[in-house]
Amino acid sequence: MSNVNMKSAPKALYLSLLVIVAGIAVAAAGIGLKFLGSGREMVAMDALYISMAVTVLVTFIFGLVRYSLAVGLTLGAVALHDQLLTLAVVALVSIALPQTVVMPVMVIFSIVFTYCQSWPIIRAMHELRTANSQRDMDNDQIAAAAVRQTAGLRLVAVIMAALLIIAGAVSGNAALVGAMVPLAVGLIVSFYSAVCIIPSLWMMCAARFGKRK
Amino acid sequence: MAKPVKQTKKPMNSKAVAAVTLVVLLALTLAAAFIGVRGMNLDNQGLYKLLAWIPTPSQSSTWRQALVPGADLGENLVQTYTAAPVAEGGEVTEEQLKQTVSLLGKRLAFGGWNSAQAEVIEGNKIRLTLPLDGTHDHAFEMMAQRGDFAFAAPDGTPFLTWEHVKQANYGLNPQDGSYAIGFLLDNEGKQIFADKTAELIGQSMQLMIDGTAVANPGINQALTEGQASLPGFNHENSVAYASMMQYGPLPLVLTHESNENGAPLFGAKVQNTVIWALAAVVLLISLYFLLTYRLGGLIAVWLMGIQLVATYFLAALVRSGFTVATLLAVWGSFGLLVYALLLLYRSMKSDLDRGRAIRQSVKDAYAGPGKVAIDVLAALLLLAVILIIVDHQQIGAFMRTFGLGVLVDLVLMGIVMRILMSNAINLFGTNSALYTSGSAKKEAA
Repeated sequence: MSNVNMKSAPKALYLSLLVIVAGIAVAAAGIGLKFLGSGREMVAMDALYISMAVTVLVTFIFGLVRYSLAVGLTLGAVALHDQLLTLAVVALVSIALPQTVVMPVMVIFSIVFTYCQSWPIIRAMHELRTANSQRDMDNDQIAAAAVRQTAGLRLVAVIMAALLIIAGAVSGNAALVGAMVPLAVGLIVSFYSAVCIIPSLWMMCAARFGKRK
Repeated sequence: MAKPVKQTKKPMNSKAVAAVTLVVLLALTLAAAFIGVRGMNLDNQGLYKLLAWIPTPSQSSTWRQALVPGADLGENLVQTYTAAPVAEGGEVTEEQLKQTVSLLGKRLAFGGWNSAQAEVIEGNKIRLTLPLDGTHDHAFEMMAQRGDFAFAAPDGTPFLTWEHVKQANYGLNPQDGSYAIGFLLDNEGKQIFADKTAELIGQSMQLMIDGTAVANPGINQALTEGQASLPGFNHENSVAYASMMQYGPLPLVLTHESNENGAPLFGAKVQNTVIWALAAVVLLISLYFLLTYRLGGLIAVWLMGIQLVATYFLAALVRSGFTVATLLAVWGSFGLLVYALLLLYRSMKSDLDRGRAIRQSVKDAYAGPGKVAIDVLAALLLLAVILIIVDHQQIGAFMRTFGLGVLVDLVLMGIVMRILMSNAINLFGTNSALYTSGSAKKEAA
């Protein structure tokens, strides 16, 4: 049985951090986060940041109340990672494909992809951890099993979401393609974090905050 | 002597009940879909009608009145304005132009025109691209007024300006059909307003926009709560004035130059193309479910149909318009239903392939992966509600429609699917081959 490589999460997080910093840098320099026409003046970025913060907080609290502190922390951290990374990548991609005034809505909506990718894995890990003792299955094995169990579902979900995004993108002009970019980016980011970050992040939170038999 | 005849109760035929239930539900679904596509006259003269609400490529359909296309997906009105400084002899700066565009965007979003756009063109000109719904042309010109708002005494001396307004809104007064403007003041404004209205009891005050009195409400008592409602406006005025109270005046004076019609921002044929493209995706997803899950797949397709009819109806009810944000809300919630169905059906298929009975596999699916679907939907519904409260602009407006779609998903997944599945099992039987395309294996002893 292949194990989840504990070293992959820090590498993935470093890469994410690099991209986030790059996104912030290009946006601050005025090179990135481009909008069509005067869209930048029309977009309420402060409302977007507040909504992103609310999204992360709600995600953490829901996970905490529904499952445990470990799950809440994992979900909250993943929500923060995905939202920031999506916005950063959008800022970079917008250099080639300027955004429209609907960008904030698209970025916030991408939390749907995060939930759909991460929740099955986290629930599977939570159930395996509850059902098995440390001797039967260590955290590495639990994480690997959860990722493997849910791979088929997550892949089909990605394909169906991609079909809907492509349907939207091919229906209009380049401006519409640009408008769909945050959705496509959010979908890819959510898949990436589900595979590369969630298992190790959850293992860390579970080891620190979870009880095991 | 005649013996009494025993009256025995005949047990209800469960198959007949299941058949009737399914036929009735199917008839309701088809009727709703038919009305959704065609609309319906509610009286013989055709004076009152239920508009169609499901978007179709047909140009004669009334759905565009229920879901008014925004500037992004529909033909639009392009208004051009020339910007000039407030003070004579001053200069128009780039910063002022940016601020003007930003404020115009906020005012338009405040009025519900989220797809409208404002942009600077050719130096000192500003172009507004607005949805062409024909009812608000003058409202847009009013929105482009400078909008320096103040409350003033009867002699015209201002005593309270927009800077003390924390929040403004507008709404229909059902008693007389007029619109009212409501406002909430900050602490300093509250005190000023209370003192002045106490002073002006029995007189009136003026609502001034750009130095011109637009309303003269009478004052019967001191208003000490820091909030009030001013009735007697029409819709256009109430939207414009409330937005000016909320966001303050434009830094420049705009003069209307021209009106012309423009193509949708996302392409001339985007409206029909996106309808066809999304229909094609639904067809592909439906084929997948039908081929993989057979009778169960048919139920899934039925649920998807109900979801689209219901969510589009609710979107029309809350006047979301036909915009990219509305499509994202409707089809995003559709995608979530597909995701929830995938969770359930994959679990059911796995159990059926191992030789489990269909009823047990449905039960286990809800007890296991079904909970993931409920968690995702419940968390998104909670998020939608909170963001509606927190954000009063674009994101809140989007979450209103999206939240309704998620609610529909929860009802369909939690209740309707169980009803359809149990009746289908009662009617068609428990043969696993009806519910999965895989070969059923005997479960190992």
